[in-house]
Amino acid sequence: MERVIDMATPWEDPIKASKSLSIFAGSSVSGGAWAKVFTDAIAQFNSLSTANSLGVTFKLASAAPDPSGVGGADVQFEAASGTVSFVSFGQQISVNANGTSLSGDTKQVMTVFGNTKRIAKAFIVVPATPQVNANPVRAVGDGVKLVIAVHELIHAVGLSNADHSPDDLFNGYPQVRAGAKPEDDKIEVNGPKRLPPLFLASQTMAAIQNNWK
Amino acid sequence: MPGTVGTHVQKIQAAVIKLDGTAIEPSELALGRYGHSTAAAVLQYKQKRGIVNRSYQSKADNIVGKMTIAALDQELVDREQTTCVVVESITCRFDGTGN
Repeated sequence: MERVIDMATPWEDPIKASKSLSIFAGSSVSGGAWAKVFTDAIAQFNSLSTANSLGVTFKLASAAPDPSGVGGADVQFEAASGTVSFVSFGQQISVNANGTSLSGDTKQVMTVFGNTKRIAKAFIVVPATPQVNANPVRAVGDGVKLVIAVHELIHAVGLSNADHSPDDLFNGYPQVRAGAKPEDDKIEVNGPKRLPPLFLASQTMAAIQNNWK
Repeated sequence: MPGTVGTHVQKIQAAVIKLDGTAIEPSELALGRYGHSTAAAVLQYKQKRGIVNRSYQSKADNIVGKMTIAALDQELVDREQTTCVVVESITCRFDGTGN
């Protein structure tokens, strides 16, 4: 069963109690163009979490999520062009990624018991080589990729599209702005605010804190 | 039993958190240590279910014995059999078209 979500969801209680999510970078990330961005994204999220007492950090995992159950990493991060598939709790999950788009996908795998929903695993897929029209079209800079990665990490900790904030990296209508060089590319939110550097507004902080308290 | 450390303690901690949502101190979870918050969680679990060995006690204690293990196992099996898995999808675009 797959559906579009409408609110923040807590992780399974033992994971929530640990205040930590383990994350596995697939082979598409660990040796490719996203390797440094992925590492930086984890560091940036953890830094933001520590500075703002978000209640959760990421730690790197050496094993992918167990396809049949709760073992292995909590979260898997992949970069893809085309269809990428995962198996979680015996269910196949597919993401059809446009490898050059400016987008990100997060799948939250949840257990549902009565009225109680809990996230048990999460899978993030980013485009392999996102591009921007800088006249001509070219690969977007790592700064924009960093914003995409950290935005998706926030979904992995449980926030939904309904939790998008108007005023920070978790904005629901982010707009890429091409720079003269890839390193000058930015994501614009709420008018003139541009990222990186990454920042969080109180609305997003509160949503994460409430989901992990 | 209070003071014990090991993976068997971590399994007990995971079970009572999953079944009752009880808070256990992160330091006890990380080490698998049966500290005061684990003991309190076990006591609360047993009190809620009336797990008392009437042959030698009149009220619940904070020790995991055969009766408690059996209750935890049965509840976890029941929970597993009535739990379903759903996948929820989130797609975000960063080109100004919205999410």
